[in-house]
Amino acid sequence: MLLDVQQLSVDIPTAQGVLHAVQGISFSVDNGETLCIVGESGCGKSLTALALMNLLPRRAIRTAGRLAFSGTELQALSAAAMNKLRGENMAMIFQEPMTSLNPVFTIGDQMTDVLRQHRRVSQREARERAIYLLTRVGIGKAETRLGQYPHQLSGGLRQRVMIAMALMCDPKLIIADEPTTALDVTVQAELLRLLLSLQEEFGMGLLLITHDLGIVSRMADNVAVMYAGQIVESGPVISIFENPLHPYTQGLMACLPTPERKRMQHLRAIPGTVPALVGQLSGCRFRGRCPYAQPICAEDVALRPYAHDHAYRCVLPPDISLANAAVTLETNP
Amino acid sequence: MLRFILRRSGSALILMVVVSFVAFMLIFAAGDPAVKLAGEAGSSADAARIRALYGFDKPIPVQFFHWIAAAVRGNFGHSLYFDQPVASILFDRLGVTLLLGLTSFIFALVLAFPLGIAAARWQNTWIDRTALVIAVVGQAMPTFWFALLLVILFSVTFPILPTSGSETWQHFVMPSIVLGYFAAPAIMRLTRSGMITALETDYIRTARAMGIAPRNVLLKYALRNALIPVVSVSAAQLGYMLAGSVVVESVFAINGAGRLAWESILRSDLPTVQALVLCFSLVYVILTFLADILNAWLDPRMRLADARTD
Amino acid sequence: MRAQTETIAGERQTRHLPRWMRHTGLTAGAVILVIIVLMGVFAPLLAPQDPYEQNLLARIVPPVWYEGGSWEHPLGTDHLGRDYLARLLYGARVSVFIGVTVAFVSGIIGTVLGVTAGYFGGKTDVVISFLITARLALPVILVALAIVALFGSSLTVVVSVLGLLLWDRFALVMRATTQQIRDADFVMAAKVQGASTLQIIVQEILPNVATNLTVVATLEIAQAIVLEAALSFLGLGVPPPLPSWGLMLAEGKSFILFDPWLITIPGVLLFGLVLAINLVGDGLRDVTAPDSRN
Ligand SMILES: Nc1ncnc2c1ncn2[C@@H]1O[C@H](COP(=O)(O)OP(=O)(O)O)[C@@H](O)[C@H]1O
Ligand SMILES: [Mg+2]
Repeated sequence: MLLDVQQLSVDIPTAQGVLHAVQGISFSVDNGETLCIVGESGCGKSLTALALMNLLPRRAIRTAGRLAFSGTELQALSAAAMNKLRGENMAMIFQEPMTSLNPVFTIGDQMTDVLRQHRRVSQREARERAIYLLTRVGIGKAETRLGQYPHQLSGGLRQRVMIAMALMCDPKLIIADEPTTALDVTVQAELLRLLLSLQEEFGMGLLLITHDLGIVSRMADNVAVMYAGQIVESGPVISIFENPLHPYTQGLMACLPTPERKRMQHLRAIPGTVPALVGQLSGCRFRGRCPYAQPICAEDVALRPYAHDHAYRCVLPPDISLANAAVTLETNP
Repeated sequence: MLRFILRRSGSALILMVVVSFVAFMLIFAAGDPAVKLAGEAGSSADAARIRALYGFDKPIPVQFFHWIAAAVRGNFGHSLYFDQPVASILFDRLGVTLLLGLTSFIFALVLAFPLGIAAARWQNTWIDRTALVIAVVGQAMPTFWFALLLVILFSVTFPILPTSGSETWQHFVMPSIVLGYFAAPAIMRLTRSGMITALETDYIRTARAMGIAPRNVLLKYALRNALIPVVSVSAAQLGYMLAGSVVVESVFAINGAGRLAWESILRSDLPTVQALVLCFSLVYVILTFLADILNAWLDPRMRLADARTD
Repeated sequence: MRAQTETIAGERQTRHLPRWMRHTGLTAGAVILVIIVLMGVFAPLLAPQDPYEQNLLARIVPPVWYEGGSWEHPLGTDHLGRDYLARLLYGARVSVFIGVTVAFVSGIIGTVLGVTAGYFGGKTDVVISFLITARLALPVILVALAIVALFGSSLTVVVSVLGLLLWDRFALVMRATTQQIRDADFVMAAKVQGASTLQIIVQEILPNVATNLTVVATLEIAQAIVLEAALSFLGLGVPPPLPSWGLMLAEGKSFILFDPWLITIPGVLLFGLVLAINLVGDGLRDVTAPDSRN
């Protein structure tokens, strides 16, 4: 197991009370495998990623039962050891390509710094590695690019640079937090294909965060659907797409463009809003927006297994749930 | 980069001309300069003689042109008090003041940078508060009083430093502390706020996600960005420090341009005063010009503004 | 999402700003300031005697807490035997008066220039910005000294010279602030309703730049007070028998070896006054715009 997360929580004290941004989520990623965490904006995806990297905002509090990377418990690591792990064994790609690169250093400086931080290599070797990776991520004239500054590159190119930079030390795990959200649709598709092929070539685990089920269907081996700080459904991608059991997953699917409902058409969104995560929370977080909500939903629901590796957090039995799914899918032209 | 430098040189040049004009006009500020120069006891015949001698009878633009043309060739006129060309007195004195400016500036930076960076790194801790107190006190401390306090401390109570003159390096210790502490607060506060802003950016998060050592994150990745606004302010502060040498040099009896300026003003040696005002202004213009270039070097967005690709 | 995190980050900053400094600073500054201003206002009542009355038989009497001091002159006397406390009290008047009037004069100049540049932009802005740069290039203290020397020292000359020199920060800040709000909805609305430019500037712009104006004004008052003291210290400020703290420091300088209290006492007052004004200015800035500290 490359990454094993058990009962991860992130709490942020705010003026209004404690914000329970992530509430005891568990998941794992194997070597060479892609796990997609999917959910609406604000459900805690980014904080989950940052918690893994130990890069949370200063006042956020992380707690976890287990946070193991290649068998090493991350919570037990010193700051220095964690720093060594970052960039070398686990690297992260961020959502905002425009602001995530340092504006006053060249692409080359920033890339070679990463390698030279972790490996004893010469500047020349580091440059060669950078050139190789820039070429590999589809940037032409890599030598010239090395001498350029981020502001001279378009957003798509910058994100490619970020990916190349993350690959400098050949990490075992890449965490990509909505890497394509800020980019044009065409660029998005190219970058995703690139990520897939890189993953094949380098055999790394990929934790891909997105709010787009379309991306999930193309990229994921496994899926974790997040809602309001919890995982509400998780399992292999085929199982989830064939049998979405949680009403929220079903709702997300209903919003997905199908061949008949073309991309550009107005997509239906799930009505209602995400509950505030401040203070004591109880019951199913989705019940306020759920078409099948019942009084019993006010009580806490545990994740329940459905099939091999497929689990969901709802009181509805799977057969009813599936029947509902069919209804939902049908009634949404 | 070359184009950038050329453009900046152009505006610096125009600025110099305007500033020279103000310096030149000083002599006319209080009415007929010839009467002033002739002194209270001078007769109107004296005034007329002076008027012809200095060319005060010509139109002001013509006079200005003559004056600036001479100044460009290093001729700043004739000192009334020393009865020598102003230029020959000026250059030694300017050297002393520039040396004092340099040592003070180094002291200011040595005080401001570490404190500003530490205050940002350990924001809201006692380190931050100490730095804030040092800055607030420095901003409120009149230089001449601080100078006198240092004299009381280091020359009267503990006689370890000389009070006046500029012969040895010891003579520069107290004046440098005074001027440096005068300039440090602004630099320190801007360093602090720049570092705080930089440390919260996405690119610093990226650097940390890539496992860059914390020291490098702080002193390379963040500092370089934080320094960009600090450069201009530091240059301005250095300019103010040089102007502040008027006060400090007179307290410590340092034979620099500042003291010369003060004495020349008291002696109504107007050509010397004019030349000094011009020199101090030019030094300021040059400093801000250099700061712009340094900034362009630090910040590629500024340097490459003309040459955008992609 | 981004905007959201940003506001949250901003919130964190304000919440954790050293409150003790921000509020205590403002309060402490205001208290010291009020005390010094009251000292100046009630100088005639508080002063043990006339600040100009010389007594050559009682020169450099030390303050009461030194040997040889007496309650007759609680803070001693100067080299002409004038009561130090009386001179200090009247000196507060001079400092506060100069600070306020200079800030008033330079505030008007700077605000007119800054608002004009910020509101009209374009060529006007270029010209005024250049003026500001040119002004910044001039060494204030030198020019002030020279002009006071040429015109002869008097309160009016000092106030005029400093007022004509210290408008740069007003202009810079007012220009930036005006630029920020010139395209705001309420300005547009006024324009649409056919308000004249002058009306817009007076009714819409000025009220909205008032807080920044106050902050700059406090800082400039402090600046003017220090400069006046410096000029007086160099012998070219307010004319002698008038009590100015800077002048008292200059006079005390000759006695630094044996009577350093002649220097420490007026200096402490000058330092305290400037510190208090700066604390109030910083505090006001923090309270009105928490993120723009420094
Ligand atoms: N620095 C922060 N301080 C306080 N709250 C935060 C911070 N960052 C994120 N949050 C809150 O935590 C929740 C989860 O955020 P995030 O993980 O960024 O969501 P997303 O799924 O869109 O990536 C949101 O409600 C957000 O407002
Ligand atoms: Mg996110």
